[in-house]
Amino acid sequence: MKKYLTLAKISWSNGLVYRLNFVMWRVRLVLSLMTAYFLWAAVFGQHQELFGYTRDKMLAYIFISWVIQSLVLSSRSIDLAGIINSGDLSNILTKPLSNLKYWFFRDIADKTLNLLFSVGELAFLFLILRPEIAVPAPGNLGMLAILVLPLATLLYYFINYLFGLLGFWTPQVWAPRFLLFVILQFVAGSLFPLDVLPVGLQNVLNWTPFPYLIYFPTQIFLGRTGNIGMVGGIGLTLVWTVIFYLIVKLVWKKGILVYSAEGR
Amino acid sequence: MKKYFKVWLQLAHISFAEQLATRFSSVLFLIGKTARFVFFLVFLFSLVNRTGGLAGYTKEQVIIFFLMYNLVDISTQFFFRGVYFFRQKVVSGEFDFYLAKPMNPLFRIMAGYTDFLDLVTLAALAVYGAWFAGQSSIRPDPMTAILLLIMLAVSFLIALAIHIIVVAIGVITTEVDHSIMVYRDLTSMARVPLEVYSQPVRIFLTYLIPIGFMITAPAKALLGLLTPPTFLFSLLLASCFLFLSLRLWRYALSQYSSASS
Repeated sequence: MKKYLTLAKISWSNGLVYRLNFVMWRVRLVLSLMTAYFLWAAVFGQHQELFGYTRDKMLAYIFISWVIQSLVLSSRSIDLAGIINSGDLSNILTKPLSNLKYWFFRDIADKTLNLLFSVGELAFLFLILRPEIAVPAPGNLGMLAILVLPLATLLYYFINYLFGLLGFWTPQVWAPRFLLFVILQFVAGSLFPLDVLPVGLQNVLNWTPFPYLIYFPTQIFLGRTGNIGMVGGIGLTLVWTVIFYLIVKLVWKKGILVYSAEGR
Repeated sequence: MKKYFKVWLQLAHISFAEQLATRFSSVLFLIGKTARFVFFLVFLFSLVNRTGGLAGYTKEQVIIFFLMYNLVDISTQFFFRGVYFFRQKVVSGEFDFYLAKPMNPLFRIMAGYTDFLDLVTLAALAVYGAWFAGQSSIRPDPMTAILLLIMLAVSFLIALAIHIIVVAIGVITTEVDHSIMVYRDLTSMARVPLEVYSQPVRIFLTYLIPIGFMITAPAKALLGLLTPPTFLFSLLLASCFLFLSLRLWRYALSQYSSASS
């Protein structure tokens, strides 16, 4: 465990070395938050209630989902495919490290860094924009922190890791990842809550893993799920996490057999 | 001019061959681009069907803003995709070869890669746009159509200027990837009318980095909402912005040390 914590510390330091990159990345995230904030503020300028949300609840959704996004979607394992393609994976394979844990702890460092910045940025935006948001009931916070967010984080980690493993078979890994980004942008609930979409589409999306990354944790935080919805959602998150874990294990086993350390 | 067109054709031919060689990626990129368009359109329809409009614009006008955003965004990417690969040319020293050739290096960078996938998405956009126009009550007269074409040309000039600024920053700092993505994020703010945003944000997107202006002005021209002073201002803005970007580019070249080669 100690070696992985050291790894996380190194990853944290690496993140701070390329400061301009990191700052620009944060600027992009703040822009996405501002876009969503102003859009919904304008929409609710003329309406008291829409899609079951009041203005303060919708703005609460936008801000909270943004912080959750910083935690769940921040990742360093995005580099996995590149490492496989360049042959640098050999450096990890020859060390007494599990590749799955190696990237997980690097991800943890990146998530911590992004989460800290997002909280700071949020405080700054609150000072400037002074939005009125609905303060969620604290009842679900424990459940969220202990179960839902770690599960969502794990689920995204396995999905992301799986896309990285494609590097064993093809150097063209950017295209599938682009597709994943597009899907996440719209159906994970970062730009808008999914219950603004047509009901038929919502029903289909609820059976996919994506809403359980951002939309579902945010809804729990806002106390909008109800007990049955909460248990059902947690159950589905768990099922998807296990499914992706098993797929990752299987794909890793197949991939490592075709790995040729090309480029080394 | 003929020489440049010939070179562009040759480079475009190479880009096309490259995209054919990576068919798996090309297909996934196409699916991603289409999905992004469809997802946002579905969201926009869900929203305006319920609200009846946005920021004082009708449902139909909001969709026109979105379609115009796509037209400007996709066309500029079609021509200027080379900018996305520029960082590597600076870092590896390959940029030196551009400078040594009897051709404007800026042209070589900008037109270095023509993204034919964007041509496919443009065609899909045209099909949807034609269907939408058939359903729409907006019927532009010839004068409006001419004004729209002029405003599209102005938008293209502003986009060109911004891409020149990005490559100039790339030469000075070797940072391109995030700059160009910040530009993309800013343009995506104009998927909806600028009136959605607060006054300071609108001023920023209109005067400081005129991305909002670049995207929404053609839509306003089509809707007959462009006033003569705004029209004249747009010509002035595009000219000034292009002039300043070229000055920055010259400055950036004077700072280039060819350290990587």
